[in-house]
Amino acid sequence: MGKLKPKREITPEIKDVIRWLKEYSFVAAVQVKSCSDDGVAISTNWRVDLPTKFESAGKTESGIRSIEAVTWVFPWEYPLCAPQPTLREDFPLTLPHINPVVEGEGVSPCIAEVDLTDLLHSSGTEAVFGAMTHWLNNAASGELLCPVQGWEPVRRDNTSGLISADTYAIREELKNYAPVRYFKYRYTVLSGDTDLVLGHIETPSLGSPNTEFKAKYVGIINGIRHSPALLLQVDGIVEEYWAESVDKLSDLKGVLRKFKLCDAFEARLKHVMATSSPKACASKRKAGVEEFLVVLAVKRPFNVLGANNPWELLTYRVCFDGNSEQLSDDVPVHAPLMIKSTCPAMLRSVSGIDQNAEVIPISFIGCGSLGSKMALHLAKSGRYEFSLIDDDIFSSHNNARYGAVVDGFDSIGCPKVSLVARDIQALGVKVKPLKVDALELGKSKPAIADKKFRYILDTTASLPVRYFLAHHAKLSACLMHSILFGKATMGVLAIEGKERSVRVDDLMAFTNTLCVKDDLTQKAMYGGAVTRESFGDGCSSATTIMDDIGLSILSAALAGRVNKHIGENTGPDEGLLNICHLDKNYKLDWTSHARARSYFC
Amino acid sequence: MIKKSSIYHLPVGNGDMTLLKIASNNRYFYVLVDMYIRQSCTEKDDQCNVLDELHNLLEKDSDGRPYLDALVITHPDKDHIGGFEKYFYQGSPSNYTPAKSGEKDLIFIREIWSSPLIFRRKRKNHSLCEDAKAFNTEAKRRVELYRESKSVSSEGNRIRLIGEDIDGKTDDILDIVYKPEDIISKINEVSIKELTINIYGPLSDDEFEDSEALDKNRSSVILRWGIASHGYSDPTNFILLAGDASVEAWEIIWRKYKDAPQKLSYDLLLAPHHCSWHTLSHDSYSKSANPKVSESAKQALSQARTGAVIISSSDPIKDDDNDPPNFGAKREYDSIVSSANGTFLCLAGNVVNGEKAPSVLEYRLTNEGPQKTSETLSADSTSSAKKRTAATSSLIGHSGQAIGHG
Repeated sequence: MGKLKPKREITPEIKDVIRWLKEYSFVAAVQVKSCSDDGVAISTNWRVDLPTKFESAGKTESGIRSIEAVTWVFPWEYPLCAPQPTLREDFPLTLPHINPVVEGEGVSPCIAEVDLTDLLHSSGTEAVFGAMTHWLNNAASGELLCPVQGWEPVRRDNTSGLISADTYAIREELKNYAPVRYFKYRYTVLSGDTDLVLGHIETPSLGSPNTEFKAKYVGIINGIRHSPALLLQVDGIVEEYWAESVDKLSDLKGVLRKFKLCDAFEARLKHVMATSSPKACASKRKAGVEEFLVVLAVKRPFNVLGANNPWELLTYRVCFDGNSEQLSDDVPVHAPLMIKSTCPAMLRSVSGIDQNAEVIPISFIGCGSLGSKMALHLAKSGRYEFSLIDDDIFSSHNNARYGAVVDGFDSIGCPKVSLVARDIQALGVKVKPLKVDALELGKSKPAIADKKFRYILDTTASLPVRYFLAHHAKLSACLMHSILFGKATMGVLAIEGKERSVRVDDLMAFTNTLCVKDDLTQKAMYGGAVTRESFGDGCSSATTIMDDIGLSILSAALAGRVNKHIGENTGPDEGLLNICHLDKNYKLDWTSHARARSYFC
Repeated sequence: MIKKSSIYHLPVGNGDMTLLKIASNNRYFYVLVDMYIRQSCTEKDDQCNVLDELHNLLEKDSDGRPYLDALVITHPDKDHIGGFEKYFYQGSPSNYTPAKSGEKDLIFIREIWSSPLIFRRKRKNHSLCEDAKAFNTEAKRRVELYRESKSVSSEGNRIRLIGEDIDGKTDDILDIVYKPEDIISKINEVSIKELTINIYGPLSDDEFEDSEALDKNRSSVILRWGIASHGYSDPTNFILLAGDASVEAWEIIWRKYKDAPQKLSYDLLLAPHHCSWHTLSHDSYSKSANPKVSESAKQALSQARTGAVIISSSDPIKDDDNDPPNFGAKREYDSIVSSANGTFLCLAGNVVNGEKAPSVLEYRLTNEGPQKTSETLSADSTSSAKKRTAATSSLIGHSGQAIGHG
């Protein structure tokens, strides 16, 4: 609470809400408690609907009373910012949906899924108070944990460090029960402060036996610490909610004992000490690491919030104890936050794509502006894996409208495939870059892409490449051709029919015939002079002058069409031609043409 | 906002009208058990306008029709079926037409649950009111559709019978007949994991000593609704709704379940027959000098769980010889709930804030059993009726300005 400022006048807006509270049916009493820098603290007595079985006692088994004290702090800038509620100091902290408790600051319930200020501006003060009423009633009826919303993870009042992991991969492994698994754990310590630890768990696991984790995995390389992580899997479903209470090894062992995992832990701990302790490192003349990681996997009765999976993962950073051979029970154990690392499963989840959707290999020929953007759009869906084929290198002017932003002198002159692959890899998506000219590649490999690639997308806008792919390449994949015209005012996506008939060159020839009747198409393809300018030595550095916006809109739209076509998973017999015009107001207008094989063959 | 199940007891004087709103799979299922909608409730300010309340509580389907997923009629007496003919749609769903301007749309019933009494011929002790006749016509229409197609019909044509009829009248339609001892967990052909219904009645004629005398009150549908909180499957709320089941029926039920009395346990019991003495005794309350309570009938109705509430859906209960509601019966129910730290309530007395008419009594059905919903005062910006409408069931998620995203 800030410094008291009793002489400051309560604002009319806060006075209004005090009057309103006095009339509010769920409030039994209202009193201005104090004024401070933080705002006006108003104490209220809130009526709670107790389930009938607790009515005579006046409180529930969990300790919720029929009248609960709620203090609202209205910031001086109210209604710009919402009031914040706190509950009595002895409010039961074992309940879920309580914000991390800061000593001396009261118990802060998490009463809405959205920020209270957003709620206030969306639905008014009544909605904020309504949320408080709902929260208390849910607390009384044992419904703060809700299967529809998801299991609230264990509340951790004191977190230390941030650990990332492909939690989808870890949870996938948990489908097969094993009490313990080893993982590799790497971390950095920022500013020498053990609270500022950034860590990462490498997936998949190494396995369960001690022999799977070797001393050579431990050490410090370029400031990155490498250490073991132990994943301990609880057998059975745990319905009990608790708040974190572990801050030393004996506490952690207590939790593990409760889940009959202590023996398994102790057995692995000996191996961890033998391979990873400072003493073990010293014996191998390596710098010692400070800690190892324990992840406790607890299966909940329903999906954990934000996980779409019932496994809750509780991470603990266990500190080594100087140079001793054994860990004493009072060595510090920190509870870090765990975050999902970027991975295809997360991308699919965020993009709203079914987790069970199969991964689709697609080969891109051409990593120019259009190809790079389309590849990255598709990569961010988490649904594809890639091969990238292009022999061009990156120039600084490409930054004006490239899929990747290339920073630093070192990257200039880098193969474009490497730059796009770098960004795709950063998403955790599989990608294989090939810095090679497609025509050269075709001489030794007429199929261009490996058999697993079911789609090849040519974005080169190169007539020889198109000719080669149409007439000489021995493709088993479905060929698609995407190209822009008219300074990104028209985009084309041509998709070959079954058995390569109709071919892409046929479809592009048909596009030309459309110019006869369609002025827009004619203007985009043949109208006006294309302005080109050189940005380096020689005319080979010349590029078309156009901005990134139109190109981005068209590349996103074309990628969307590719994604839709593949998603429908029923390739028609006909060749498909999709043409998209972008007008000056950035409005897209699509036309589609299906061409039967007999038309051209 | 997470959806939550609730039960609404609508005050209709001496009659029953209970709406169950069951949350499952992120939607609500609406089941009305009995009705007594008198014309006067829309005209007199000392009566709850249960027609308005019902419309406020129900959602509309994609065709704009207010609908029930199921209508359960315990027995076809006026005080359990009154208003059916006038306010509920009857006939082929394709012929439904919206109401004229200023009038209320008829409520569309997706599935009817009825006792097999609809097949009985009119007899001296089986006379039917106009609403019951309309109900019989509609129920028979639906049964005939099933008979013709031998498959469950589309919404608006569906029917389930609770109990088999005598003389094999329902033998050819057994696939749409629920029998006593069956457990129902489906409404309108949708399985609901939160729902477990035990069927304890109607009892068959041959279970009564005097099997010749058909009595609608003996033949009431008796259902114990077990409802779990949304997303769970183990029921934490047990509601016993028994229409006008008589003392003879409760004696038989106790004989059946005295070795497993937990099967009769309840959190909410609608006192049968509007708190009638004849639910608990064979004697006349007014004519007998010392009317005796049937211990076995009382035992059957005594399986109150901690905090249980027995509700009399009736006129006010006075300390006189009236029956129903009957003061002596109230005293017996008081004794039952007092041993369970529970409460006895009369709906007629559920009057908020000095208003003239009683209000709808609402309980949320939670993980810890029923939780009475506080009456909201008129000072709150939303009226109680408005607050209960499905469209505004969430103050947070469905009202105010949309919260966009960047």
